[in-house]
Amino acid sequence: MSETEDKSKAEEKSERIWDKIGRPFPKWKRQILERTRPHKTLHYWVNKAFEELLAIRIIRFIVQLSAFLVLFYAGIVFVLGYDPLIGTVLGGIGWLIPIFGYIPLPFDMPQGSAQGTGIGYFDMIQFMGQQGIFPYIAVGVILVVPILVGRSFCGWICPFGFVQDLFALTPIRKRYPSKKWDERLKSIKYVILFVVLFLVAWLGTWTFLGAIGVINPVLAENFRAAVTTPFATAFWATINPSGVFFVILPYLYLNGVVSPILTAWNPPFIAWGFPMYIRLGFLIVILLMALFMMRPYCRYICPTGALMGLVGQFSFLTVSRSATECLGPTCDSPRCKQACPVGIDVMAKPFGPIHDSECILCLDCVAKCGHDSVKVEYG
Amino acid sequence: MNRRAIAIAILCIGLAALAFGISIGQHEIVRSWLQVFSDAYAPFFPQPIPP
Repeated sequence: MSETEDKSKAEEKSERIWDKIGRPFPKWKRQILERTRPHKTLHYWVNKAFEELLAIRIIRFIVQLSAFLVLFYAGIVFVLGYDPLIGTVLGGIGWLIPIFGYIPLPFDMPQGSAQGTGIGYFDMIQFMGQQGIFPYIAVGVILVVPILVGRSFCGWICPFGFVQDLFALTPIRKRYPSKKWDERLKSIKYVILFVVLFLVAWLGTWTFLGAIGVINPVLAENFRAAVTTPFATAFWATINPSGVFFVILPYLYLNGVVSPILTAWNPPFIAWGFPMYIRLGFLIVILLMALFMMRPYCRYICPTGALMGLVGQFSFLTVSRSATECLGPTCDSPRCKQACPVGIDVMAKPFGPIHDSECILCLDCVAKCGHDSVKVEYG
Repeated sequence: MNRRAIAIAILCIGLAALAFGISIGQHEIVRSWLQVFSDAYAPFFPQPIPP
C-alpha cells in the first residue's frame, strides 16, 4: 500500500465521529449532530428526506390516508348494497366487509359515520352493555389487538387522529402545558372511561335483572330508557367530537339540517338546540387545540385510546431505547422527546422496551432520533 | 408477575372471548346495528339499477 493511500485513509478516519460501539456516523448524520452546513449539502437533504420523512412519517401519512379512504369507500358500499369496484381494483372491497361489518374496530370509530360503516369497539361495548348483553367480541378485540400491536391503530389508522394530524401540519408553533399539568390533564380520559363504563354496567345490570325476571322487566326497560334518552345510543357518542365531525356534520351537509333521518339516534341528540351547540363547541375547541398541540384529543380526552392503553402497556410491539447507543442526558439533540405527539419523555424511560400506556406507536421518535438509538421491538 | 406472562394471559382471554362471541353469533348484532346507519344514508345515494 502506498504512502499516499495510507495518508488519505488516515485523514478520512480522522474526519469521522465514532459512536460508543465503534461504528462511524455517516457524513449526513454527523452534519445533523454537529449542525455544520446542513443546508448546503444535497446529500444531507436526500438522506434526511429518506430517513426522516419517507421512511416513517410519509409512510404513516399514506397509511392513514389510505385507511381513511377505504373506510369511506366501505361506507359507500354498505349504503349502495353493491360494490362499484367489483372486478376492477382488488376485486372490490367485498373481502374487507367481514372486518368492517362484523367485528368492532379497535379505534375511535363513531357509529354511523360517513367515512365508513364500521363501528368502534368502545361504542359497541356501550351499546350492547347498557342493554344487558355482555359484548364478548368487543371485549375480545380490546384484549387481543393492543397486546399484539399496542395502540398502533391510534397512530396509524384512527380517522380522528388523522384529522388532528392534518390540523397539526399548520405552521403554528406547538405549545404544551407544564409536565405537572400535562400529567393531570392526561388523567381526564381515564375518568371519562371509568364513568362511562360504570354507567354502562349499572344500566346493563338493571336491564339484565329485568330480562331474567328478578325485577319487573317493564320497570327495568323504562328506567333504562329514561336514563339513556337524553343521550345517543352510547353515552360517549353524545359528545364525542369524532362523532360530531364524522356523523353530524355530514348529515348537516346532506340534509341541510340535523333531522331525525337517523332514527336510531334519539331526537334530543340530533335536534338543534343547546346540547347540539355544546357538541359543536366541544368539537371546535378540540380542533382549535389541534392547531397548537399534537393530538390533544388523544392525549387528554379519548376514552377509547385510554382503554387500549391500559391493555397496550403489555404489548409485544414497543419502541425500545438502546442502552448502547442512546446518549441519555448528554444528548445534544433530544428530538425523540420533542417529536412525541403524546408527550412521552423517551429519554427519561429506562433502557429497553418502553411500556407506556400513552404510546400510540407513531414511530416519530424512531424517525427523529439522530443516533439510531430508538428502535422498534417485538416480543 | 412477568410482563410477558400477563400479556399471554390477556391474549388467551381475549381470543377466548372473541371465539365465544362469534360462536353465539354476536357479530350479527354488529352487522344489524350497522345496517341501521347504512339505511339512513341510502336516500342520498343512487340505488343500483336492477339487471
